[in-house]
Amino acid sequence: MTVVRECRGPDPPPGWLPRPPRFEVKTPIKYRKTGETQWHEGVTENISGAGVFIRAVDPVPPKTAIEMIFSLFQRSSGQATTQVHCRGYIVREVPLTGAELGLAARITKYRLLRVHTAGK
Amino acid sequence: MDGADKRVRILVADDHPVFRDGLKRLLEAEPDFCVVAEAGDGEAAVRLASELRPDVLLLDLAMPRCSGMEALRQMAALSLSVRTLILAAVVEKAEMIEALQLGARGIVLKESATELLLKSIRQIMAGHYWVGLESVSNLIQALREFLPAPNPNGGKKNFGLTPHELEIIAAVVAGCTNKDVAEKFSVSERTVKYHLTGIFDKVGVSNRLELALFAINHNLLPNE
Repeated sequence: MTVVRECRGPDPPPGWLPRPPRFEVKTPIKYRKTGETQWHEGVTENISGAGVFIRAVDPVPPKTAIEMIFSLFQRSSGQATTQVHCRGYIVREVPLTGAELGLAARITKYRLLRVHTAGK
Repeated sequence: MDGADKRVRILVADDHPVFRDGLKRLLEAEPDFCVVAEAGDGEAAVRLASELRPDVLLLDLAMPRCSGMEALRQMAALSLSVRTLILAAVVEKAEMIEALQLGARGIVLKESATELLLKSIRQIMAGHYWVGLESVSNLIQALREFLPAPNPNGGKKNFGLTPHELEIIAAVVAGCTNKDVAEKFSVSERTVKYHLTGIFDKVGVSNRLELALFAINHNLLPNE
């Protein structure tokens, strides 16, 4: 059963939408600025239906349009189930430890692709 | 009502005409609510919910011919996703559990203050669940009594999803489009969309990517 919670407090304002749930998914991700040919590599920290947080070394300034590709893996078997191709833009860049930095990206478009046809 | 009407469309199901009439007046006094129909028993509630697709169904449990609980069962079997708020004079603990398991979004006692009812409708419209304050302690106690203790070694929750819905999820996660899914299960694309809406409602996601993430995170996919 879904979590039942007691609701208190004021009603949400009109137009309010709950923040999309974020899932802690650590998976390799490739990203590049739109129009660039070279992919950069990173690892996701968490992903939601609207955004992704990437741990990487190659910086991308905020508001830059990017493309991203990552795979989702089945937990039990460890097999890749889906490849996700996304477009979006960088929302913010945060320094992490050493040369690493965090890139928070908004996903504006995505496609789920079968693994055997993906990457063509 | 015009096409741009943003009011919450409500279906009222109760076997007492005087109560329905009073409730209708009360709801329609709110600028953001409108009552689209009234049902006098569970059977009519299911039929009208299916025909009119209201935003919210206010459902009494104790009704003749077909009870509110039976109506909930029928709607669950039809994968009819209507935000249902149980509005009852008395609710047993077991009924609370069953109603929530069958997809009810909340429970309000008829003795509750009007403001509480209006607030509960707005809360379930915002995606929350509502259980009247008095009932919550009962509910938690009932949950402890009725539900098995969590199994740390992989008790798999299915979030009220039917086997068919789980198959559809697996297909979507595998990258199938609605057309692919329709072909795979020999149904129309419209039926696939209808199932997906029900699935999104059950698991609380709003797009396919979230569904894929949710399915993987909760181990809802069949083992390869």
